[in-house]
Amino acid sequence: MSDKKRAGELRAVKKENLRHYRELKKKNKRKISESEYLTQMRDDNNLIEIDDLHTFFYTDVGTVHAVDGVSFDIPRGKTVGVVGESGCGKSVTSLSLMRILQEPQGQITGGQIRFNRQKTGQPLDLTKAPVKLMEAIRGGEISMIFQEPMTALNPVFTIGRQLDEVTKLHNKSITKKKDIMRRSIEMLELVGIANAMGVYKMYPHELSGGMRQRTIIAMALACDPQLIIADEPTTALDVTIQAQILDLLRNLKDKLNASIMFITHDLGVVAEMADYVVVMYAGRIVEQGTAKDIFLNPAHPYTIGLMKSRPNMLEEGERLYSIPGNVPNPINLPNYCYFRNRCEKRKDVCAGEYPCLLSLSPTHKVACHLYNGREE
Amino acid sequence: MRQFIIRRLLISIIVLLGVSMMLYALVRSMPSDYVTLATATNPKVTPEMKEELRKIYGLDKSIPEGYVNWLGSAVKGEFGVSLKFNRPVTQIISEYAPITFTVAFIALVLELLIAIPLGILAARKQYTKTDYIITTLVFIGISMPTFFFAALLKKWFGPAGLNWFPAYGLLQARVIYNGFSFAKLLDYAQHLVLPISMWVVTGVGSMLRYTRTNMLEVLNADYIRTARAKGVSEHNVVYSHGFRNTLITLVTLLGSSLPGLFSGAAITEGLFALEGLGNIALTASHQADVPYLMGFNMLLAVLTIIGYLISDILYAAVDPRVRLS
Amino acid sequence: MDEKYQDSLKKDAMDASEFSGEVEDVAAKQLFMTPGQIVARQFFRNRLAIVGLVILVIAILFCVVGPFLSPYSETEMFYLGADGQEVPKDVPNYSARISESGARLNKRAEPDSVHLLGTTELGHDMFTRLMYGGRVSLMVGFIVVFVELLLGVTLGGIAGYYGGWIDTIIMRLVEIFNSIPFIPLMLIISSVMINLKIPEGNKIYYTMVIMGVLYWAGVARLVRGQILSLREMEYMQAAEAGGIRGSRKIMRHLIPNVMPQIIVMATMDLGGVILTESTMSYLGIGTSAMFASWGNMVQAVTSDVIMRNAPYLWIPPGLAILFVVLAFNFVGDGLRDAFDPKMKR
Repeated sequence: MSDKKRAGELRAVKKENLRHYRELKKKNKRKISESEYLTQMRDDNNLIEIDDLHTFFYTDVGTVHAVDGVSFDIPRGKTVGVVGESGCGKSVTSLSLMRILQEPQGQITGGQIRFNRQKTGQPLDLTKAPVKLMEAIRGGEISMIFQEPMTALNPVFTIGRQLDEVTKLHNKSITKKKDIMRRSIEMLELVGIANAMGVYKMYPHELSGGMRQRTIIAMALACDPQLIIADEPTTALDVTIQAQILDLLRNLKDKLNASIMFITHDLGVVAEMADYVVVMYAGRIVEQGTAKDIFLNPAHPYTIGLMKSRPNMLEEGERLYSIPGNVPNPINLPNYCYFRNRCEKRKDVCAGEYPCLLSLSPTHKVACHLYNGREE
Repeated sequence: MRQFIIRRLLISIIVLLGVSMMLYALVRSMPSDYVTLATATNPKVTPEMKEELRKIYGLDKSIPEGYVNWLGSAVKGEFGVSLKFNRPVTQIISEYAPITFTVAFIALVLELLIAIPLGILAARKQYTKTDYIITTLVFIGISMPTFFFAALLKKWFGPAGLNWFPAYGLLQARVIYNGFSFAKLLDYAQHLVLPISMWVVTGVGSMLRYTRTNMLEVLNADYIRTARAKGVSEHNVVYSHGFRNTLITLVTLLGSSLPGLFSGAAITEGLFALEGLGNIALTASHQADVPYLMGFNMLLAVLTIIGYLISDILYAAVDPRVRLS
Repeated sequence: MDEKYQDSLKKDAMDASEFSGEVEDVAAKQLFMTPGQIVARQFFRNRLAIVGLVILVIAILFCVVGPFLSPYSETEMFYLGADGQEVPKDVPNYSARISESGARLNKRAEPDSVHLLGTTELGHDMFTRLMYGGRVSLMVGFIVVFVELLLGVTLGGIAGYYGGWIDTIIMRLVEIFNSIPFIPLMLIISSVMINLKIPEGNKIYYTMVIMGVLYWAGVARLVRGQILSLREMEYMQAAEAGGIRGSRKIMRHLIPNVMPQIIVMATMDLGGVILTESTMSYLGIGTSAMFASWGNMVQAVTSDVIMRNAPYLWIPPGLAILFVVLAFNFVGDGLRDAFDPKMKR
């Protein structure tokens, strides 16, 4: 393609993006009435129902379909693991749920995220909820643990101040300064920090990575959330500390009876933590099911590849398996199966339309042509 | 902390020695000394008197010896007698410094009041026309020649144009004020509108840009996302979590702008004929009044170093990660 | 406008951490382009940078080629005859015409088709002076930046590469130079030059060298800092492990890596130097009024009559400085964005 032609195209992209930015701005200004975001759950046992979610990024080089029609449920009190390589849309899904996408480039363009809100008993659609309401939900009812404990805490505030903030924002029943502080220290003790009083007064840089991750977890749990989104909470930590943090999360989840959406690329961690697993690839779900389904009976060639590339499965002398090829360019995605070019089991039919999700069992679904006609 | 300040001060002294050596050597490298030059037009000065003057200024000695002499008195705050004003340099400086400082201080405060809010605004509205317009204006401000802008201001608002403000001086020449009065203050204020506008318009750009760049960087940081995820309102995300971090760099900038307050004055005061240190320095340079220029430059060098020191201390005060040792 | 979009992409990349993989993927697709091509393409997508570049090309043509095309010279004076009309240079009795009674210098003539921007106080053609003035301003800029780069890159490179006591000494020097405020120092130097009786015409050369010598500290600091951080990088340690010699290491690895920053700084400094030089010539320090420079041309405004009645004598040079400096800043900013590898697409 000639440079000139490409430049023209890019200009068109820019123009188109500006239109989207403006539309979003208009949308954000509009007053939203209750009827627009109140909704009904499909199954009252579910805490979250993500339904055909689309999240796009309007970038200079084109529109990135970061999340493209993703649907899954998070039942109450259960842990759902979302697995995939970097760039598959798993983090964007969680950011969409929290509605903290980088606006105006990142926008939810379709679908619903239904949240079974305990506080009011009124389920609501998070994609449409007004900003003020989202602020009340974030950190209180749905909280998030981030990947980088080193940078996720504000370096200029003490741990105490950052912890207190959450309580002040969401737990209006505690008003006295002393009580807020007591609550924060309680939380620090809960996550297993020995010198809670001292840590309360410290700045983030004075703590080790593991300690910081603990305080971030304390922050996430401070207001008894219904859902905890853990976005690769242990990736940046040492193996020994990883195990501690995972134990901690599991215990606390049971204590608070919360659900966890656990995002990771590490299948080992998922096996340990999750009740349900969702495997994503290039913005779409390729396979989902219970942890048993996925680990004992992986169906999609991509999932199988992921299983094979786990280092702890290695026998002596065996070479570590890696899936050949790369994730496709997110801007010009093909209209056939995104995994086709890397797939070892591809057939002629794979050059056709993108496969839809097929049910292998009531809990197990896969999007692959290999299983066409084998449906139960 | 104390250790840090002491070490910093020691380094400062070395730097100051270096600066003064350079300046002194520069001045002494003139073939005809400045006494000859300054007294050339005065027939009453006899050769003996000149010799006497040379002795006073230490010009009869070699450069190193003379420097030690000069340094000896400089440490005591004596920079000799201005050749043009025939008064001790220290006296002139202490008399005119308040004017220079006041003007510069007002300008600095205004700059901050404009630069910080607009810089944050531009960063928050990064994809809008607002940001685009602010950025372009900033570039124009940075690129504007001060003297040209001063001329435009005088032409438009001075007596030659709308006649809203006087174009020169600090006070109306024909009015005599007894002591301090409101009228006098008003007169000062009127005279200062144009100089300070010029100063602010040409100076605010870099500070604004700095704020904007910094704020953008901070707003992209992970901890800002954490704050949003905690449910902190957008306003607080920007002004509490974000700004507190931007402040770290702004504070550093503030300390280092201290010497600029005085050296920038040379231009502003010259352009608007304000009787301050800078304007005197300008006249002094045309008449080779070296003692005054040496004194003025040393004052600026000291201020620069104090500025750096203040930045460092403030930096440590606002950034808990910095431990001075 | 582009800057915002670049920031936006960077933001995306940071925000959705997994998204960065995608950005890199796009970059990887374009690896067949040389780095220079990528920078150029990135640069030309920045509208302000293009505006800057166009202004610079026009300015350089105007100042370098312009004087050859102008029918007048820099110091040529024009006279009005007794009839009040300008005496053309090619009339046979020229010298008689301009000395007859009633003939006078054609000063402060308003712009017309003969003198596009009128004539100056001394009867020179303003438009032609503007070309020559620009020549001086641009030349000062380029030479000063050349000197500053020469000194700054050398000393900064040495300090950063060798470290130890050499570094300490050079960095103290940098601090000393940074502690001397520029304009006030130029005041001293200006009186020294008066004293040394340096011919007016030569002052400008001294000024250029002195400015270069005074400006090096910033460049040195930048180069040193860059080299220090590059030395920590893995590929440098790899080079070291591979046993590459010191000088070779600087030339082959370190200098190319600091080049982008140096180019950006040089571009921005070009604008800064032109601005400072014009201020100095306006204030009458450093350069002399003998040569036209944009700065001292604006100085005409100090005459009240000219300020009020002859804006064509001071507004054009003032705008010329503004536009050229603005252009350098736009280009420098555009280059910075284009070079930033994090934003490379």
